[in-house]
Amino acid sequence: MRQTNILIFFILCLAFLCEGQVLAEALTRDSGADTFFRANKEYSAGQKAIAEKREQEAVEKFEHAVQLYEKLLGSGFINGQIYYNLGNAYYRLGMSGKAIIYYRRAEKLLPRDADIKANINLLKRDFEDKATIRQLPEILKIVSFWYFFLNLNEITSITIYMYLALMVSILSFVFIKVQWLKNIIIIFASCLLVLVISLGIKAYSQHSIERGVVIADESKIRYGPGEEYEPKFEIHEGAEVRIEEKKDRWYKVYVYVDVEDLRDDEDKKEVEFRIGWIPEAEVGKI
Amino acid sequence: MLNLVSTAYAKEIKVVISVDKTVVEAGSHFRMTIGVQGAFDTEVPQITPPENFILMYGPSVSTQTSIVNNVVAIFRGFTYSFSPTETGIFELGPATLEYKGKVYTSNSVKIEVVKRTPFEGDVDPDKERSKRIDINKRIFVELETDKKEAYIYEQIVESFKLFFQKGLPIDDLDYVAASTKSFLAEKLGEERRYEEVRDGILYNVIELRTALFPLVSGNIEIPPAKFNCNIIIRQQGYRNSIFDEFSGRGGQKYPVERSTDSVKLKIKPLPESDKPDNFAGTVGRFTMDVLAKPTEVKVGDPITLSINIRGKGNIQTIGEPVLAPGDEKDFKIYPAETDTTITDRGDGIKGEKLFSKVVEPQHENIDMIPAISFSYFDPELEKYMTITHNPIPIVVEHSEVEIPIRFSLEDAEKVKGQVKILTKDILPIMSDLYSFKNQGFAIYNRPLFLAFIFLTPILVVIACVYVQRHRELLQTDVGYARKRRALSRAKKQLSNARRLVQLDNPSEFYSRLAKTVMEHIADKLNLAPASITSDNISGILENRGVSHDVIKELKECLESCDYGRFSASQHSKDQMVRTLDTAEEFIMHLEKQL
Repeated sequence: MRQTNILIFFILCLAFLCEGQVLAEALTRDSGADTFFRANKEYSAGQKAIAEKREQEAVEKFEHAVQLYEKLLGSGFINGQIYYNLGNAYYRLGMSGKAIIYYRRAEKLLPRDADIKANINLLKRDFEDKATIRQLPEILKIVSFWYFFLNLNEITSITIYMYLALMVSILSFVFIKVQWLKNIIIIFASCLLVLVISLGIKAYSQHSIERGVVIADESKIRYGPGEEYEPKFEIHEGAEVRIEEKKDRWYKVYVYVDVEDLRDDEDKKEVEFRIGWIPEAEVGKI
Repeated sequence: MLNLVSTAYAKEIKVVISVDKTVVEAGSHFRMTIGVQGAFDTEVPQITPPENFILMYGPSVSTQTSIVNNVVAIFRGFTYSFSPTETGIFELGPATLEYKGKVYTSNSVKIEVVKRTPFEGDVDPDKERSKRIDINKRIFVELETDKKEAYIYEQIVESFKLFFQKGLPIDDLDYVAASTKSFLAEKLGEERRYEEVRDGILYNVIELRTALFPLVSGNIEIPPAKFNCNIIIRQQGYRNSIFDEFSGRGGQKYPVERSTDSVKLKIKPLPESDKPDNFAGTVGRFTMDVLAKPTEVKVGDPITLSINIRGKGNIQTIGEPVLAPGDEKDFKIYPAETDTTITDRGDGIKGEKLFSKVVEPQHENIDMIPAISFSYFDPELEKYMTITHNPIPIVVEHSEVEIPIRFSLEDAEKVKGQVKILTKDILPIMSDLYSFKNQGFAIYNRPLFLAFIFLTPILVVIACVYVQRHRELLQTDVGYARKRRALSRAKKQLSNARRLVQLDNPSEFYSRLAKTVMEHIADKLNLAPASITSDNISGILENRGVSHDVIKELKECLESCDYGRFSASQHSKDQMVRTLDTAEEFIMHLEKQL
């Protein structure tokens, strides 16, 4: 009887924790979906206005769509579709840099979506600076497919399920000592280890490394954080950067675009040469 | 020390006097060498030394021939040793040499003769110091640039020179280059080794040169360069073995550290006036060659333009030459591939950059490739220069093959067959409300939930392991099983005994109660019930650490039971209940202690 009570208590606790999330989600989802629907409608109207050569009206519609998407995001409702659509709306308004920012955010949440990748590639083709982010070998992408196929939340969920499965198998082994259960435990433990490592790497790359996109038409990368420092080189809208530190409204950035290295070919020097300072206002964080 | 003078020119006859030291103590000796460069069949040069200079020996003649850049250089050295007798400043030379009817005159060297320091004892504290001062004069470094004022991106040659007196044994050379943060630096060739006479003393010189290209304008200072080495000083009285001589262990190493002065440069920005539109930051002096191949093609066929920019300056930064603007529909132009070659690092960076650019004529009415122009800033002339290559005539024939893909709507009509991409545009927005949920609720951001999820299964597993182990012990360990079941069994038997009180059967009651107590103890201690008697029970419990109070309680209980069983007197119910209570208390107390 006492054991049954403990079990019921645990189930209730779990239900409370899960239910809290489900209820909160259900409440925000209804209002969020409504705003999303209206924003999409504005965007479609803008699209139609372009087709009918009513440019001024199209701009207004897109601007309104942007406002609605931004409002939705401001209310704490985060979704890959909103980011993607907002990226499209900014693109239509001629702000390719901002479009890339939102496409990148959408990509984090919807890593399997081909449309996002297609739009990013399309925009990149028109950018003045040639991106030089090191592409990972294809074999690595195939071997660790789950890393590129799943977003952070999905990897977390699968890790939890794997952990629970491991615990259940250990529990079973406590009562039924059979060899095949032992093998299952080893398999689950190995999978869990891989998942935990993947989770750590993904969480680090998404939360500890700050990335940004140049949103100004043209931006000078300087030797130091201030106008008094000489410009080192110029980059243009849409160029992606890694933000290393902030100082007085200036970001120290490492640029991901091709910078002609005027010095030796040594890696260290190349890295130094790609680093510089850019005004905070000219970069949007991803 | 043998002094030889080398100079850069092989055909000229040159006579140079050098000495091994310019400050000499009266009575000691110094060496003077008259070096003749350019001929080996000369007479001994004539020199008249001051009267108070006693010739110790000489001339000792040595000859050296070297081939540098296919030029044969010949040197003859005539070495003399003098010993001055009086103090003062004296001039040695000039020496004169008559060779093939011509008279050549050398330089002269001033020698300061100082008073001799008297020898006062075995240990002279200043001796080491004077030796050190002497060493300091024998080795020094210099940092210099070929110009003090330059334009941004203009080539500046920085030279680091190490001077050390000829014959000075140095080892472990370590050069720490001056920091050139505001420049692009390019090493110029291998180190240069030559000899140079400074103030009459002959030095070996090692020169390291670097081409610097300033990246910023303003007054820039190149910080001092540092140089460390060890001078090997042979100790007097130290007998070197032949192996020491080979391995260089023949003396004590004396560390020397030298640093140069800093060099101040004024870097001017490039002038804004008259800057050509196609100027891409190239500074130096260049020429351009253009070659187009093939010049007879069909529509859509590639023509490779090889544009070679050659000259002196930073070759890496040469910007791409541009084609004169024309009709955008005439040519499809691909980005150029570049190949940079540095051909000479002698007196500055010289080289060439080859731009291979592919152009495809788009219709047969084209008869020439537009003019190609390249602009650079010439720092010597201090103005921008533009080199323009005339348009290159070509012949374009009609092609039957259609150009497959076009990217604009206007061109779409011209294309026949194959896949046509009419426009390029982004893909439409997403509007899937089914999967529209707040992805901001990240599981990994909820520590309470995660703690619950991760800790609960662990606790359950631990509990289950404990239960399972308990069950296994009950099945396999008799002692454990008896001990764990003892209390419940005793309680059950006590409850039966209580029933006997109600039946008023004292004999049976006391007998059962005594048996219950003894069996309980036997269970707790995993002993056979028969092995426990009233006589040995106290000792057994005492050995197991049971307190005296509890043992006393047991004794009282057992005595009451014996009395009840074996006495003929009548026993009241109260008495039986009291005994039962005593037995219960004993069992509970024993439970806590065992």
